[in-house]
This record gives sequence, C-alpha cells and structure tokens, in this order.
Amino acid sequence: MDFLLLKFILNRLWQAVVVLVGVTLIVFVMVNVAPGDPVAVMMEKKADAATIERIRQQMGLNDPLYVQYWTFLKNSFSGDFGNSYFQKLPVRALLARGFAVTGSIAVGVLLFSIAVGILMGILAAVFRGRSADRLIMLVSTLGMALPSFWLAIILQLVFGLWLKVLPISGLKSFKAYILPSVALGMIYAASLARLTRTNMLDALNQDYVRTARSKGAGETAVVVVHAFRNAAIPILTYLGTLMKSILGGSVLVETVFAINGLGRLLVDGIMKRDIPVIQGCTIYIAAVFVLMNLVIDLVYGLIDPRIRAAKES
Amino acid sequence: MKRAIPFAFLLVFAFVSATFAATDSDGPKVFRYAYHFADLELLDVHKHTTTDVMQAANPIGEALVRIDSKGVIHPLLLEALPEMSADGTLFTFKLKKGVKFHDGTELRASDVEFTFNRIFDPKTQNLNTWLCDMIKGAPEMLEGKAQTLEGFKVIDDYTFTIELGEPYAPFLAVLGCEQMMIYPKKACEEAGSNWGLTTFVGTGPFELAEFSGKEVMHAKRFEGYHGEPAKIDELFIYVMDQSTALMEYEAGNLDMVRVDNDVVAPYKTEEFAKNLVRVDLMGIIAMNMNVNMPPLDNVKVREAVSYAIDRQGLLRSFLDGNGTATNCMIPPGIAAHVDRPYEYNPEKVKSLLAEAGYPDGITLEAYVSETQEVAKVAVVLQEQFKASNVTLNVNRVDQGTYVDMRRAGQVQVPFLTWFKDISDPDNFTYTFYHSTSSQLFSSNWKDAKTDEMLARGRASMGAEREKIYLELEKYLVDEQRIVAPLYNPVFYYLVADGVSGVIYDNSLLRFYEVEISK
Repeated sequence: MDFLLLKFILNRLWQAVVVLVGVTLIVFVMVNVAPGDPVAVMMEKKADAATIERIRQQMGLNDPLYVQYWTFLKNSFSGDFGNSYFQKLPVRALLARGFAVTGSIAVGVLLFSIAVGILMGILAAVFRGRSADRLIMLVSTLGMALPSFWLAIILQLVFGLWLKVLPISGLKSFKAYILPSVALGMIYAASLARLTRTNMLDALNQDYVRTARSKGAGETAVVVVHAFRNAAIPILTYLGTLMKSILGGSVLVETVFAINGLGRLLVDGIMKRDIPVIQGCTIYIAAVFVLMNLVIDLVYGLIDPRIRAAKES
Repeated sequence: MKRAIPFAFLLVFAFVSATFAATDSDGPKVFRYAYHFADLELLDVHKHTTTDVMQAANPIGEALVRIDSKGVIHPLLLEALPEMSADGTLFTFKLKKGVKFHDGTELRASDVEFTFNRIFDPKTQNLNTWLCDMIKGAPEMLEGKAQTLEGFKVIDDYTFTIELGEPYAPFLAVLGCEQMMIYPKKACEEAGSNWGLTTFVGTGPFELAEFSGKEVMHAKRFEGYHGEPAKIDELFIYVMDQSTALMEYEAGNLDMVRVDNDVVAPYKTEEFAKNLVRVDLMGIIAMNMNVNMPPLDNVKVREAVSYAIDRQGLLRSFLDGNGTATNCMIPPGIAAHVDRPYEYNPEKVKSLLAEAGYPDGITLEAYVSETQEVAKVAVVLQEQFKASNVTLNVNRVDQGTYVDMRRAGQVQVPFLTWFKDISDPDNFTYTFYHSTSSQLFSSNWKDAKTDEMLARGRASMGAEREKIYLELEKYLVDEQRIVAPLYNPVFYYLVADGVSGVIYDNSLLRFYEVEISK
C-alpha cells in the first residue's frame, strides 16, 4: 500500500473516531434531557414511586450523569452498549441480529436496484426519445413517488394474497426476501435509472465513444465498455448513499413484513425510552455512514485514475 | 442492441420469476395465531407487565390455581384449594404429586419457594411485585433487608404455607395470575440471564420449541402434561402488523388473528361474520378528574362534566358499537358491578356550572399519549363537550412524557384504560383511588373514608365484601364524581373454519383445548 493512501486512511479513521465520540455525547445528552422515565414507561400503570425508584437504582439510572456517560463511552469502545431495558438482551446481540436481517435484505435491495436501475437507465439512454425511454422514465417517476410501505402492502396483496406465489411476511425462505427487497429497492432503482440515463447520455456524446464507433466497435461494446464505465462514477456515489440508507433499516417496511430489522429496533427503542438500544443503534448508524464514506473515497481512487492522480499530486 | 432488450427484461425479472413455485404446507395439527404484540420481547413474566408477554407465556407455564372465565378459582398444581386460617392470613397448600416440568424434574415445594423468593429478589427486577407484596416479609426482601421470604415456609416436598402481613381477600385470585406461574428452580438457575429468552420451562401443556423476541413463540405439545394433554401438536404465536396478519389469515396461513376495533368493520360482513368472535372484556375505559386542579376541585363541576358525556353517541357514531356504554367503574362479571343509569344533558351541565360559579363554561386540559387508542375517544368528547360550554383541550404527547405527567399527578383530565389483572373489585378501585396510588393516575383523590372502605374490602369476605364495594363504587362515581366511566371495551378475533376450543379468558386466550378439524 502506498504511503499517501495509508496516510489518507489513517487520517479518515482518526476523523471517524472524533465523529463517533461526538455522536455518543450528543445522543447521551439528548436521551437524558428528553422527558420520560424509562422505568415509568416500563412499569406503566402498575407500580408505586418507591418501586420505580428501586428499579432505577438497580439499573444504575440514579448515578450522576457524568458517571453514566463515562461508563457508556468506555464500554462503547469495546462494543458493549449494555443490556436493553425491555428485551434484557445485550444491545450488541440485538444489533447483530438486526444487522443480519437488515444486511441480508440490503443485499436483495442492492441487487434489485442495480439490476433494474442500471439496466433501465442504459436502455432509456440508448433508446432516448423513443417509447421505451418514455415508458422507463414514467415508471421510474412512479417508483420514486410511491411510498415504500404502500408498495409493500400492494405487493403483499398481489403476490401473497391473490396470486399466492410469494410469502406475505417473515424471512423464512429465499422467496420471502423478494417482496421486501422490491418494496425497499423500488425507489433506489427508480433513482438509479434516472441517474444512469443522464450520465449515459452524457457519455454517449463524448469523443471517445465516437472514436470507438468509428473504429468499428460493436454497439453493445460501445455502450457497456466505453460509455458505461465512464458514467459509473456518479452512480457509485449514489450506491454508497443507497447502502448507508438501507443499512439503517426501514421501520415501515420491516413492520409490514414482520421483520425484526434495525429500523424496528431503533424506533421501538425510541418509543420506549430504551436508552441502551437508542445509543447502540445511533452509534451503529453513525459508524456505517463514516465507514461507507471512507469506502466510497477509496473505491473512487481505484476505479478512476484521474482521482488517484489528483490525490498523488 | 435491440436483441439485448428481451434479454435485459429476462434478467430484471429473473429475480422474481425463479421463485414462482408452490408454497409450503403446514402439518394437520399446527395452530397459528398472530397479533401485533409490541411488547413480546421475552417470556419471563416477572420482567414485563403487559398481556403480550402473559399471552405467550401462559401455554408454557402454570400458576398454582386457575381462574375460569366466570371467575371461579380451581386448583391447578394443587390437590385442592388451600386451607385458610380463621383470620385470613395463613394459607396451607398441598401440591399435586407427579407434576412434571418440561425438563423432566418433578414439581416440589422447593420450586414454589424458589419462585416466590425470585419474585421479591431485587436482582430479578420484577415489575409485578405489587400484585402480591402483602406476603409477610415481601417489603423486607424488596428493600434488600432479607434474603428469603419470611411468609413462605416449606413443610415437606409437597406442602408449604404462605402467610400474609394482613388479610387480603383476593389473594387466591392473585395466585392465579400469569405473573405468579411457578418456575423450576434447577432450570431457572442454570439458564441465568437466558431465562425467558432461550430457556423457559414450565408445567404447562406446551413446551417451548423456539422463541424469537418480537417475532415468534413456537411451542410443542408436552407429552408428560399432568392434566388433559393438548389436542394440537404445535402452537405458533406470531408478532405481526395488523394488516399483514389479516392478509395472512385471508391467505389461509393463520388460524386465528386478533382484529383491532378500528379495522373490524369489513369483517362484520356476511363473508366473515361466522368467523368473527366478539369478546366483551372485564375492563374499563374511563375519564378521571383531577381533584387538585381547579375547577375540578369542585364536586359540582365534576358532576356537570359527567352530564356532558354522550356515551351512546360515542358508542354509536365513533366506536361503531365496539364496546358497551357504562357508568360503573367495576365491569360486568366482577362482584359489585351495577347497571347505573347515565344521562347526557348539556342544559343540566350549564346549570350546574352556573351554580358552581362558572356561568360562561369551563376549560379543561386533557393529555393523551400518542400511542393510546383512547386518544381518539378524547377528541370525540372534545366535540361533545362543546354543546355544554365545556372546552376540552386535547394535548397529544409521547408515551414517556405522558407517563411522567400522569404519575406526577399533573394531568387535569387523564383517561384510564384498564383490563382486569384479577377478577376482583379491588383491582378497579384500590389501584386508582387509594391515597397511596391516586396520584399515579392523576386523580389525586386522597380521602380517609375511601381508604377505610378499601381496607375493609380487602379484609372481608362474601356478601359483606360485595356490599362494601357497592357502597364504595357509588361513593366514588355517583357522589364524589371523581371519575366518569365511559365504556367496557371489546376485542374481536377471526377464527378459521375447523378451529374450536379456544378459551377467551378476558384479554388472554387459552389454547390447551384447541382442536383443529380441517
């Protein structure tokens, strides 16, 4: 690994640590200034003040805030966010379980978005101004406008209830991944199709494409090898953004499909004042954003010699 | 390139088309039930207060006694109901012999002792100690001053006694609650923090096969059950969003689903009516009035407000008949319930308010949690009150804020939603109106006469006891007007053809007699 790249990575990692510590502080302050005692929520109507006080003491909620924050910060660096107040499991285990679910759906969403989005974008660019282009752009506009949870319910109705070809809920089989992936991926596929079309149109008008054609290269080779490769940089940026969003989970789609992903974990945690869960999830999401940005920056350099050269100079 | 188009579409839809195959089929004796059990996070009944957990735990664990849907108490893990001393404080229990836990060990008095000690051990962080903290020595254990429960004595392997600090008439009913199910000492200790998550062992007709919080509880018939074995082989309780559960039911993938009242209308039609079951619950939806916050400190104003409620209008126009209007805090089916008449009379409201010194009407502030179903009811009352010159401002806040405010006694008009824990009038009166607990529900009612009657009610038995609660309920609702009961709620369930034997025990379902004959 060359020195400049190593320096770049170390620098970004250091920035990541600063960002994450900042996130822990902001999250800690916010969950502690927000009204709502988690123990009172936990016990709802069924306990007197003395019982609540006793449980608070046992859970360490009566310790001074700076002690609580220091404990939280210290433990966070070893990935220990404590136990969920309600689920009684380590937050680390809940995050791992949620990540396994959300991550597996993210793969499906990514495959669907790339396959549909890029393919449709290329086709729209190639057939610019024709019926195929107009149809694809219409569908992509609809895809961007449809709320994921609504689409999810429609997909459940059509493919699960009426046609009975795909499971309505759960993630018990490969087939069960299809509807959540399509529901979540539609908006990304639609955006990707439009983005790909724009960049492809730009690339197809470049001199090197004309040169390739004049040299007798086949149309498929011109589109895929010459035009698409150069149109891929903005698409890659978008894919990075897409991954960041997907890995944060989607509470609505997860609820509709009865999936225990990260979105539901975080929102349930917020609703119930489950402080360890809120803190764990927030740090996880912040870490995903920081990491994905780093990966995108590194991949840029790998696929685009101009960016690599700029960094070296 | 044109040749690439069909190929491209083929690629795009390969993702979907490869999967179009027949769906799996279930075994013949598998019962699948679903609802959006938001709190089904674990199975340990000591660590949660909600019905969601009790529902999933009750096929597996059992308490010492069972209370049937009519409120009659039967011995379950006992040879007979316990003998009670003359002063009503000492109970002697004899365990049924040969009762096996799912791990093969036999139920002994030491398991019951372990369970009761665990209930009060501060390390357990039990949220339900309030149910039975009248047992002698319970306060000392909770405060960490004692290691074991003074009031619990093991006589031999099958005999034990429980002594109460003071007489408590509903004690046997308390012992029938899910929160009092008996845990096996060995299995529970070995499981440690995994108890109720990956391990959960009881004496019930089903043994746990798999549990995934907020997802599924899967249990199988326990062949060594001490009573009549379950008729089904497997039981699944799924956590599902309401619309998803209804779709799964309609697709034939569920045998039973609970239907929320606000989406039940389409299922009252001919197509589904034969499968729709309505359960009238021992519960109450009511509007408390905070006597510390003027003008509700004036009994005449409280009386006026109670006449501003159009219960029939609420039930007919908004709730679509999904409930039963009431003017009694104690629900039907529980001792001391009365069918007290109620009246909607805006003119009487205005007149009473004028007498109380508010000729131009009053303004009240209600706070509701955004997650409460009763929040919508509050908005309906807001409209109804306008005709009586009563302005009801409905403030929606998040659950945490609402609970904080209500417990601090700072909500002027708090709404109560309460389903019985035990079939006893004490559960609907002491809980809200004893001076030690009234602030938690924002009525702030602190009254020596009420406390005295509640204490007498706890210490009395039979007809005398019922008389006390009749008098008390009348005093609270009809004379002091600290609460305006609104309606008794109902639940709806869709049950598939061929399914029978589900026992509707108020808000809980019991599955041990379920039969499937498809």
